[in-house]
Amino acid sequence: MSTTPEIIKLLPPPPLDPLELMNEEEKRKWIKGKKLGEGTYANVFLGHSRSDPAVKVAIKKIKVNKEFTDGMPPDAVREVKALQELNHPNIIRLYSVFASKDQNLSLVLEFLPRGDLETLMFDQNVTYNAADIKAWTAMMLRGVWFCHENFVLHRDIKPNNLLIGADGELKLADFGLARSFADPHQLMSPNVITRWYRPPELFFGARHYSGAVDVWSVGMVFAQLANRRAWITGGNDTEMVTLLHRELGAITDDVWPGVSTLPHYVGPGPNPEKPRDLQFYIHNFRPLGTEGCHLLMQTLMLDPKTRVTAKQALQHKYWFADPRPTPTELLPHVPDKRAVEKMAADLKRRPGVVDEDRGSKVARKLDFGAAR
Amino acid sequence: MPPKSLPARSGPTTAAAAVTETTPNGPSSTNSDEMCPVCKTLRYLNKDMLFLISPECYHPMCTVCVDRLFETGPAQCPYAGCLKTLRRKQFREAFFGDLSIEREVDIRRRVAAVFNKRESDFETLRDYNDYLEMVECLIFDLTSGDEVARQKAEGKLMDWERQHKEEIEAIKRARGDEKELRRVRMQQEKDEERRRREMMAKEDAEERRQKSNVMSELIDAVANSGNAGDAEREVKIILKKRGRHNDASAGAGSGAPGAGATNLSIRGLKKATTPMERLKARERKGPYSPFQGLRLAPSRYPQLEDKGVYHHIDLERFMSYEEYKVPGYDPAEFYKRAMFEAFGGLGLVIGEDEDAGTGGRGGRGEREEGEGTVKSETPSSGLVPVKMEVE
Repeated sequence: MSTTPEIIKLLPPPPLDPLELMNEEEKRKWIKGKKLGEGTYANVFLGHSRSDPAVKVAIKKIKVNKEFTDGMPPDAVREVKALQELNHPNIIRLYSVFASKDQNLSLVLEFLPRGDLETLMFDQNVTYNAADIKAWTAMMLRGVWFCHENFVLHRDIKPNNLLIGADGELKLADFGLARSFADPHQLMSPNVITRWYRPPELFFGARHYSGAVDVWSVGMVFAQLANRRAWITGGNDTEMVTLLHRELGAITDDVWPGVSTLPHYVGPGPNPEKPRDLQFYIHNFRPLGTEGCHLLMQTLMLDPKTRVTAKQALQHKYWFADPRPTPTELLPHVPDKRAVEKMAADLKRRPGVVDEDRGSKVARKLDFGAAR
Repeated sequence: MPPKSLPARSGPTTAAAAVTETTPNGPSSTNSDEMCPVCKTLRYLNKDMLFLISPECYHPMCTVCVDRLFETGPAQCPYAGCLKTLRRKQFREAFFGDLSIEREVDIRRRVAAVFNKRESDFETLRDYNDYLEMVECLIFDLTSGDEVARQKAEGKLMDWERQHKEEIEAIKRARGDEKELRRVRMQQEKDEERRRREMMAKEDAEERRQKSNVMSELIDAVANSGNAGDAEREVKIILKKRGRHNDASAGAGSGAPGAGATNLSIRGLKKATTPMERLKARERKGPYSPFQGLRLAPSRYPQLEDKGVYHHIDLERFMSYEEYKVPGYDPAEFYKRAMFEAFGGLGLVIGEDEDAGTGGRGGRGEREEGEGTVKSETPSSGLVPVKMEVE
């Protein structure tokens, strides 16, 4: 932090604890306003900077968690660790972190008043075209690319983690499942990414994966943008694998050498589908055009080694074909009031679950104990 | 000769003696609040007659006399035989009807200010009682002693005051503090009490409001359910009102152009433009840049993607395992990170580089590029394969 030396300079000698003082200093910079939403995991407040009231922020106050009494909840730690390193127009800004009196952690995040991609897709009053899809996907990919360039795996990309700023800029949010790239000897948890957007290697229990997992999620969101509904929507992991076999063609050693050796591999069943070619995508995702479908196919390659990286995806010729992506300020958006509510709902949600309202009565399937 | 009604006798020269003698046996005491002893004005003639005294001699006289006699400055007491010089400023109303009491209280006050010790200041109760007795004797001498005793007592008081000035002052100050504290505490209690009362009043009001709300809702419900015709009529009335309102606003709208024709103008306002116009004004230059001009390739050390040769025994071993190869663990990512961490921060001088604190990506040489540059990096084919060889 660049502020550290100034604060230390300001310190009067000993009796005060410098860390506490720094915390107070940080806390004083922000004024908490009305509550935007309350969840089981966090409360979200509107706030603004003390020095400049025009700077609006969302203050996410993480609740004291009964499961993790001897420390901070790992979600919060992950989020802070990842976000404090990342500063990019397509990634939500973390302005500050401070602890409040009751040992709660507060994250001061960028205020994104235009909701998320999910509300946008499901709002009947919003119409968008191929150019808009292209613009959103480009922004999403830029965010992911920047994360990967900085060795951060997001691991929870989905439409309601893609928030929209006041200027129409799409921003990657919720880094509660993020981690940095693992060294070869480290194990990573396969229980990450919300199910519909989870790549096959994670369903098969891979413990050493790459940025390709995020790219798959991007592909799924891309496909969802085209048809305005999620493509593969399995109710549980087994069903998801079955659907993947059916929709994307049988996942076998032929298309993905060695896949059958993965710990939780399940075969395609009696009548395996043949691999999907470009024609299949063009037929199903017409709004994307030929180039778009090619990119979609590249992002949804079953074998992660042949899947494009975020950088390669951004070099694809799709971006240069007509139509040109819509400028951010002209992108369609939902009415502001609803959008703010949605943003608050997104921020307070626990990472890795589909929808709190729908799944509130269902026990959580994801086990973060193993996620390291 | 002094008038008969005057309480003062010719004998005593001091006021104290005079008062003590006169008040108890005053044949004129019945007259004293009916008639001014100096000017003989009757209360019958002046209803608002008010008697004043001076603590010098305690001889009462009416306000008119005081004004008349002492207007020009200090003068002798008008009572016969009283030689005290009085000033107008000293005169005040007596608190007690009996002036001897008034005098005694004044003396006691004066003595108490000097002998201001408390029981807690003494070793034993006996000592304190002795002290009290001593003080009481002094006061008796002052109030009702004869001339000699009074003089002696006065002298004692003066001496004591002179000798123990500091002590007396200290005690006085302490008392003052205590008093102040007590006052503050009282004030706080009072405030607290008031707050409590207000709160209760508020709660009461709230309760009443809720009750009445429920009542009115109930009444509404009954009314609505009871007679549909009424409701209809009500709606009609509302519609009528609204219609008139619309008419009114329409009228205002039609009148507006005339009003707008005034030559009132504000300068310096921004020109209203739609985003589309602004965009057109900005004019699209060059092709779309997917990276938005951001290049994160390292500039100060070789990119492994370009060179593609680096020997890492462990990684080679790991990459020979199925569980690494199959799910696509990417050695390029590992190399990139290893290189970044090895070179990160080198060539960075804190203080020179303002971005150092925020960016934290020194070795990479991050920089913005024009859109033209991005164009040149655009490949004609869809993909650029990663070249990664391990010797």
